[in-house]
Amino acid sequence: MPFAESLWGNLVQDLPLLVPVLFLWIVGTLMLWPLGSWLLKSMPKRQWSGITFVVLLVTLVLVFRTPAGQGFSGMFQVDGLTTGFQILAIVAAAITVILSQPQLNALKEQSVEYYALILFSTSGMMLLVGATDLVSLYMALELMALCIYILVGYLREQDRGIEAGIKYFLLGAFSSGLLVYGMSLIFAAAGGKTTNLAALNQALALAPRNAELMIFTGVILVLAGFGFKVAAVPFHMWSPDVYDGAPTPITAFLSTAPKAAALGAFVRLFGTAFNGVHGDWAAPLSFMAAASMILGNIAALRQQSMKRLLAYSSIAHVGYMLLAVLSHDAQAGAQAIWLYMLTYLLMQGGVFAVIIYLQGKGEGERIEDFRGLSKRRPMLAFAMLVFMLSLGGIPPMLGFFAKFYLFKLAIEQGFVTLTVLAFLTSAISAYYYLNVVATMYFKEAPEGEAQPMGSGLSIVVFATCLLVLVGTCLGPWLMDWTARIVLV
Amino acid sequence: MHMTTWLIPLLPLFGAAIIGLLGRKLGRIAVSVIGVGVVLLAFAFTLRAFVLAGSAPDHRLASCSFTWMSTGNLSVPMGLVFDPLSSLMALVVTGIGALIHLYSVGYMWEEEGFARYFAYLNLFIFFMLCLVLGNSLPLLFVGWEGVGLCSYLLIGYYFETDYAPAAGLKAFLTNRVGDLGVLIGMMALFAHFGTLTIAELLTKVGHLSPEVGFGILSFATLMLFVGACGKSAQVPLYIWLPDAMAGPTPVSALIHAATMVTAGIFMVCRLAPLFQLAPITLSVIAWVGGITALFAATIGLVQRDIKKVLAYSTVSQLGYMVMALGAGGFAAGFFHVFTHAWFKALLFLGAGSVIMAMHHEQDLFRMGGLRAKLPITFWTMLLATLAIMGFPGFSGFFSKDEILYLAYLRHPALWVIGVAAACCTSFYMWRLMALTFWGEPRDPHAYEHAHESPWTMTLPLVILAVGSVVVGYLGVPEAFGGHFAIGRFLEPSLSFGQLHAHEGHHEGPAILLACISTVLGLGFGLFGFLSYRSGTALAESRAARFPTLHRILLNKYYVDEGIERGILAPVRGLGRLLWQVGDVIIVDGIGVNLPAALARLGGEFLALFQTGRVRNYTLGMVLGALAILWIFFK
Repeated sequence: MPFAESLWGNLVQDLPLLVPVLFLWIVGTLMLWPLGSWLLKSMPKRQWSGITFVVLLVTLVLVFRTPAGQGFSGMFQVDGLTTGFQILAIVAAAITVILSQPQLNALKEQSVEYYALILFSTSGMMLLVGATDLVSLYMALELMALCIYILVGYLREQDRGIEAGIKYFLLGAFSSGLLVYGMSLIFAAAGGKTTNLAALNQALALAPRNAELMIFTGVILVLAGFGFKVAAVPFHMWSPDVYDGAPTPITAFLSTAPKAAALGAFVRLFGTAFNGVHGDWAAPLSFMAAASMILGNIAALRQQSMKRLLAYSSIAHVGYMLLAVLSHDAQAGAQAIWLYMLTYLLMQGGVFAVIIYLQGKGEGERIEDFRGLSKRRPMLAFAMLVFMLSLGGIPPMLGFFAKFYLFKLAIEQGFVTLTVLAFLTSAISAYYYLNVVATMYFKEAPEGEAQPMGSGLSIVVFATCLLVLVGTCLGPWLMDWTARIVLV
Repeated sequence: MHMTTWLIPLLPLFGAAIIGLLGRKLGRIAVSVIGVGVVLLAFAFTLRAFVLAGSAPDHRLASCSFTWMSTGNLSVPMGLVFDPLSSLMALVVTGIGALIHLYSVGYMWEEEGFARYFAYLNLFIFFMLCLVLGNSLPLLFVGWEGVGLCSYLLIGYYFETDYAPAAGLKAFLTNRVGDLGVLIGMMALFAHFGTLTIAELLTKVGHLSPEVGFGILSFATLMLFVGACGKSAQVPLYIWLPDAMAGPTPVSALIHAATMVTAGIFMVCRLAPLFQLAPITLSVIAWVGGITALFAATIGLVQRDIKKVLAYSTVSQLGYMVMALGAGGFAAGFFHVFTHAWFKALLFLGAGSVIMAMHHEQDLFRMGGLRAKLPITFWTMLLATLAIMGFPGFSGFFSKDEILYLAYLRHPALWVIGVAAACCTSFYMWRLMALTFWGEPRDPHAYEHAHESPWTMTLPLVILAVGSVVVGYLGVPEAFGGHFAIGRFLEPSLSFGQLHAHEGHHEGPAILLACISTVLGLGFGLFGFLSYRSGTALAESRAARFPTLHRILLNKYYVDEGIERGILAPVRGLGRLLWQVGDVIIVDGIGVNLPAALARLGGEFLALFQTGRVRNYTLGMVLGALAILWIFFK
């Protein structure tokens, strides 16, 4: 049986590339089915977050130990980009898991499925960033997204949550449609022979002149699909509503992990497959970046809900990162995005931890609720101050360095106008970030006792605060270290 | 070795840090011990460095330096240098500084902000040592600014009062004018020579010959001299120093008499080879110094506040020093810095002792007859008065005489001005002494309670008094059969190994000039003493005879009023204009509030699209994608 033998041989050869993903799948499956129901009886539910956290740590170790290489008939590849963005996805998931613990406890909504879904979604992201084929790319994207649809609507008791889940699902399905349609157009334009990214690039270069509209339409539709995933203007409209309605830990997850993964895939897809047709998609992408920066920052100004504010600001941050996707030097672009995403992840995690603390039992995520926080909980307010300054990119905070390297790259690549726009709009962002600080420090606290804080939450807040501060001190060397991890 | 030299400036810094941070918890005794101790230790280390530098082959001891900043072609090292000039000055700073610290323990004991005072004072010593010992102009400038800051803080020490913070502000702002000059001068030197390290600069200068006409050297030195005018209170930037007397009296003694105000003279001496090359600057310096000496001395004639008299006296004496520099007598100028530090510090401390005895009474016309009550204060102040008036054999005699002689060589008119100022000095000093210590007590109640100060205050008085008498013998001028030893000692610093015309040719009637000035000085001193010995009646009748002159002098030539009307009022008007048009309308309105309003409106507009309906969002996506296709497809 030569066929079976060669299949087996290939599998043995390629399987090491997928070890971390397989590990997640196995653990997730065990959690959902035999092990989960067996253990459930003997163990309090709240321990699942701890277990999930450990699982994610193990996955992280596995990611580091995965060898570089390509496999599965050129559908999956492990390189610096894959490893780097897999790390981001895992860290984001880990932060989410810690944040979920106190929130779900307070709501009495702990369940195994919740954590298993996070693990599956993470595995989807890990596949996505390594996908080197349109088919595997799409599959991974759907794996990631489907789990998140459920997680967004996880709190079945709350109408807002259900609405957000369904909204996200409908729009997500629609965007998937656009994406697949775009892919099929490109597939057709390239001669219908291959879906491998590298091969597509060559085929597209040889495509006849009259296929130009077809290719361009395909690229734009793919752009729309990815634009939806990273919430870039004009495909962003879902994000404020979904952020607002989702359980807060999931909002934290949503604003970091899928964006990191989608941006990683974005860089790979546009850096390899559409590399030659650069002139065609640079202009629309620049437009999307500029629109995201402007709209995100301006719309954030008038928000009163902290989660909506973060949704809009996240649109703006994606706008900045798209500058790096534009980069002609795909590797430098990936590095800049990676560093930016990493710092963004930390700051975002910290901010959401503070929000969850203030939320207590599902109420109070308005900016008003931060009044007088400096008096009631000075350490917490200080941490929030650090996060806000860092998110605003105010020197010398960590966020400043991330922005600095990103903008530096953009200037070097010749996107001067866009970078100036980024500077101006990030000046606008200082207003709403500092507004939160002013609310904490200069407004009188409302009546009532300070809520006790879960130890897990305070650890997250202070650890991330510490990380941000330490990162601030190490700012000048960050890019060198990033360059060692993210090698395309 | 290197470590201990670094300790010299760092010890006072540590002292300032500890006292400043923990002062309230430490208690007064611990604060005193730390505050005085660090300065005393610094003095001991300075003494050691002084001796070591003296035995070094080129009389220079450069302590290890590292690069402080390096950018472009500018590289500034951070290091200390001990040569005759800087080590002698450092000895003055730490030595007299230690005495005044000790004195302050007694003087400030009752004050609320005891620790704050000592923290500032230690910080001052640190910055002053940076200024003196720094091996580069930027480091000197750090010290220069730092002492200005400490001066500001200490002048405004009694911050509850109205006048003290205002006086501090005045001192700071006036000094800023001078500091700008120093900065411009430094930049000009850097542009021309490409270095700011003092040793390198002076080495490069050595190959040049004196500048003919007004060139870059004249410009740079003139700008530096503007800075010296600010710090050393020369016309027209002297106005801050009399007001600076609002600070505690020991501060007046240390900062506004003995050390900081001589920083300008020190800087010129430090760069003496450079100034040698700019004859235009030198003549400006000489005339500014001469004018200041006479101008301030005449104002001092009629002041009633004991500290104000001493303040104008300081301005006048600084004028002498500057005049000496202008006459090319760098050693003579610095010698006067050195002797003046002793007797002027002593005069201020003595005045402080009197003020404290009189329960914070500073009006001379309310004192009188304190001779018996304050014997130590009286005798030590008497010695200081003899020294400052130039009584033969006392320190002021030698240093002042050398300056007057050099002034004569420069221009006889300068000599006349100098002698006139010396006569005024004698007069107002004896007036001060007579009003304080002789005659009937004019405030019987305060007189009853007056008592001699504690040992912490009298011990410094005695030590300083001894110094006031003897330090003059370090520089007996050649005209009196001496060798002007201090001049030879300073020679390596001032000429920096280059052969310039040796100062003081000693032609002309040196002895005759000295006799004239001394006799005149003694005469005016006697005149002042006799006029005021028995009270103020004689003086008042004389004032009534020359009402205009008296009023002009009493109001200090109306300089403050002139500055208020001529400079400050227009500047304030400009400021108001810029505030109401430039700031309120243009910056705040058009620059800030308009874009902010637009952004907010934009936010409102964008919110219209956030309907919350899936069908609208889907439409948005489709329209977005179509729009992009439409716009960008070529």
